[in-house]
Amino acid sequence: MRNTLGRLPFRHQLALVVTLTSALAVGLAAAGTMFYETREAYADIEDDYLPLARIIGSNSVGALSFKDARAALETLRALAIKPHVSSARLYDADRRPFATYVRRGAEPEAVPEMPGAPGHRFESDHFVVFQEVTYDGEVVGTVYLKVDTEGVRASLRRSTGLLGFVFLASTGMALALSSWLQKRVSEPVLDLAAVARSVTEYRDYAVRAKPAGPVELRALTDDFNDMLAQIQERDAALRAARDDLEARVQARVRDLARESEERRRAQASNQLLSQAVSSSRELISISDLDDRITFVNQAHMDAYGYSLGEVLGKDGSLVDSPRNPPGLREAIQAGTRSGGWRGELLNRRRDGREFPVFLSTSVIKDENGHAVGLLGVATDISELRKKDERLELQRTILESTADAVVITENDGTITWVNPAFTKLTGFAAEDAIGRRPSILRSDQQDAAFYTEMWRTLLAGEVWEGEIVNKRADGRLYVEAQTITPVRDGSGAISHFVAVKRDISQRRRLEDQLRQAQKMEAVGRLSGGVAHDFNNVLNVIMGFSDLLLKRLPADDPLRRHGHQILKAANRGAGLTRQLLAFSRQQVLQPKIVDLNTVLTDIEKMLARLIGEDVELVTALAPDLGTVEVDPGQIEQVVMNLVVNARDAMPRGGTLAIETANVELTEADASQYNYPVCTGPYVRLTVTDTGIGMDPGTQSHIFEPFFTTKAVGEGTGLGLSTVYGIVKQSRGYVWVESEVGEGTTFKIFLPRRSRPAAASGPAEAGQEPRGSETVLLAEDDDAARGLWREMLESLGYVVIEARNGAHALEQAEAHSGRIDLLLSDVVMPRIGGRELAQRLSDHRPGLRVIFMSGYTADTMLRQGIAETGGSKFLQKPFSAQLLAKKIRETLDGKASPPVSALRNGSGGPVPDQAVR
Amino acid sequence: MSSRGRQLAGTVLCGLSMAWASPEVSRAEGAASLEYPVKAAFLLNFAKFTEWPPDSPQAVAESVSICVFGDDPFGLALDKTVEGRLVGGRPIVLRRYRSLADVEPCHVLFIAKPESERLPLVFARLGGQPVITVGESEGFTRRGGVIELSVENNRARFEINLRVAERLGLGLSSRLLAVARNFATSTEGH
Repeated sequence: MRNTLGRLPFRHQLALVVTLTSALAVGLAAAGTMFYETREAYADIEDDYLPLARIIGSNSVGALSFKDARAALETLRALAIKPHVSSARLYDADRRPFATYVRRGAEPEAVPEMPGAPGHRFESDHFVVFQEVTYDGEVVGTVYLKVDTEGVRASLRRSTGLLGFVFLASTGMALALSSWLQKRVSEPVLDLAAVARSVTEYRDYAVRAKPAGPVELRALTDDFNDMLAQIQERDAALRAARDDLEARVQARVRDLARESEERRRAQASNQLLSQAVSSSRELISISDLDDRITFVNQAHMDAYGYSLGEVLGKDGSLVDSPRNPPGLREAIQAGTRSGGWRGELLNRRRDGREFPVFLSTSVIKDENGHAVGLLGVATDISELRKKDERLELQRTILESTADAVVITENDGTITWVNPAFTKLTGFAAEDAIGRRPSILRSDQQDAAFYTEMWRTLLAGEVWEGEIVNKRADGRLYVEAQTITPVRDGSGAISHFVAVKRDISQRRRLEDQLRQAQKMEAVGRLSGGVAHDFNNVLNVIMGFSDLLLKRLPADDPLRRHGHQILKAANRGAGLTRQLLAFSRQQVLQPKIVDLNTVLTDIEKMLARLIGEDVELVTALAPDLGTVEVDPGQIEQVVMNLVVNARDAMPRGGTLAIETANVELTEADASQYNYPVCTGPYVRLTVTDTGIGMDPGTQSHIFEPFFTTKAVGEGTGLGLSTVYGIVKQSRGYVWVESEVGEGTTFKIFLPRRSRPAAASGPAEAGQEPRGSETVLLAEDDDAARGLWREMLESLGYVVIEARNGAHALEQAEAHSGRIDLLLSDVVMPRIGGRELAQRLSDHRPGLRVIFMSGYTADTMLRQGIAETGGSKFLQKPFSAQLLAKKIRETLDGKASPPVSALRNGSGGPVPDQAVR
Repeated sequence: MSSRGRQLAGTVLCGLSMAWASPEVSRAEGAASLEYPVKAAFLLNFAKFTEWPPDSPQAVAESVSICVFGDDPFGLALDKTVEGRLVGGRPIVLRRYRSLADVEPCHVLFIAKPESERLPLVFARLGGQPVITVGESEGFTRRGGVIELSVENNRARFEINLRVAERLGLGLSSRLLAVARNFATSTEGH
């Protein structure tokens, strides 16, 4: 409220205050009056009527006590004299209406049935009294009076109205008067204020206030106006002065600005220069003409570790490394003086670390051309050096890598090759650079191959593959090559990089492995067949033998028998060859002198080759010995000779040569075969026959391969040779030229032991005996055969069908058993176990095992021919059987078989399979 | 409502109901059931509206006695009426006299109708003492009684012999006089 009031304009405040004051005064008076009047009026009423009620009550005591309603009524009627009493009632002591008076002409109204609480109150238009009437300490009744106050109230209202009117009138008057008054004052004041405002706001000193209102205000207004006039004058003067001043200042400022601009420009350029030098990353030093440093920039300080104070007055040698060539500093100084020096040198930091810099010095000349100082700018080139070194390293790597590297342009022109390339291809760098990779092209790949390669490369892909190329000397080789396109910054292909590796060796090895595997597979197959076949042959041979024995000498049927035997023998020979090829034949190698073997069969060979072929032998006199089965070697030679003969249908020369040789790595690489290096004996069989092309050469050792027509050859010859040589731990190579001839070279490991004396020639006589032999064989036919054989030789034979049967037989036979002749592989109880068990009971029992399996298998089964157990490889002739039995029976007793119990751990025999 | 009021109301109601129940009941009988309680109240009030001479034994007595000489027509109504009431602060004592010799000067002496023949004896016995003598018999006040009770229009009325009252020294309140049936300025009675 106060705020609102405070914000009103003064004139309103004034009016408001005056009006309020008036209103307040009059209002208070009126209110006071009314209040007083009303109070008085009501008090009057009370004063009037309360006693009246008491009087009535008092007067009614008797009537109330004696229940004289009539008397009571009389009393009440007296109230008629009071015009304002509208009704009255007397209640008896039981609070029941006793007598009632209602004013005539008054409105009918409800008079209370029961008296209310004693007291009086003013109702809206009545004054109501309840008064108890007491007499002698007892309430005998109650008086009720209802007084019409309307008149009084009306009167009061009139008064109020009047006073209200007065109030309003006076307030209005006050308002009017005050308004008039304030106007008289405020108008001039407002006017003055407005003028003042316009002066301050618009700086309009020409305005004047209007003198009006009370004298005081007029005076004020006049003074105000005077003041304005003065201000106006002064203001004008000021303005003039100011304008003048401004003009001068402007002029001055222009001059100053010009000067300052010039100075600033000069300074800026200086500053720029100075900043340039300071912020340059080059190591800048400025010296006087005596080489004494006068300034170095921040980069210099950071790089060398000397602060400005520490370098001032020193010369450049402060940072020279002692590793610089002597006299370098003098050269620099001299060079600088004569115009400038540029070059690299080593500098040294304060902490001793050295680094290479490129230094450029010059003379600082002023605008007149006089030298005023020396400038040195050094650049730290350690990074550059490192980069150089890195590049150098990369180059060296490329140069020395074992893989050949070729870099070509994107059209294939060679731009760089490394030494490994030269090694691989035989082309020197200068012979390759500038030419195209086609210099290596062999005709092993067709055009489509190269087209595909180029397509891949030009598409931006990497090409990988194997390719047969040709060296400078024409030799073919196989390389694995990876060609990678190289892109330049814009993404286009700029060069190709080819990395090559010679895989000829690998190829060869792969081929050899394949070949060997092939041979192995074939060998196994043929071996299996041969083995089974052998058993059959064995029977044929055996019974033929028996037959021949039985037939009288002059029996014409003998001839048939002989033929059968011969054929069977031939068959056996063939299977032996097959087995030999599959290395399943047990050899009985001995230390032999090849020359001896060759000499022995020379006559036979001559007979074989016929007259058209000339036989030439060149046997080295000091030939070393080899460990081979002589029979096998004979076979080898014979097979080779036969082939040579067949290759020279119109005759020619056959040369057989022996020599001591050393096999080296070089030889190995020449023959493309992994060999054990060392001393060998070389057997060479050369013919001047039709020769073989390389294709045939690769197949010759395969069994059943033959260039002969059907029926002319079995195709087993060379494969047998191969097998025998391999089994003897040797190597066989062939060289052949179509139309020129063929040379077979066989290398056998040279032994240092002397040749064993050749055993006595195998006589036709078969040794006999009379000992008791226990024969165990599950093949009935074979068993029958051997039984007959043995008995024909004179031995006593106890037959057994299998191991268990043999044990039974042995058990049953109380007499001596001298020899156990047993098949190794029998159901349930095999030969070995049988031998073991029998030996337990019959010490001194000798054992011969028979088997169609190779010694390899036998070894695994724990049987070995070590002084004791003997071994017979099926098929064997009766002669061999007889001989073996005799030998065994005559020889040492078998060692306790228990020594052989752990099979594979048994001692390794001299002979057979290695 | 005061107990007295209640009692009276009860009496009135009872009386009313009786009036309803047996309209044949003689007025006299119906009135009789109300009559005496009202009269008993009158007796009490007479005492209330009277001042005795200051030296008189009545004024001095500690209690106010209301006596009945002869056959008591009030019965219990009188006892009930005065029960618990005071007159001028004094308790009320009821006495009933059967023989004249017992009669003492009470404040209010009610002489039963049958004794009306012996009135002069009674008055003589009282010997001018300020006793408000009250009777129902015809001409009681003529014969020298102070207040005579009667029933008119079913309303109990009484007459006062003022002369006698004056003579006896009884200060009867104007209020009492105001309600009396007749202001006995009569010269009747002694």
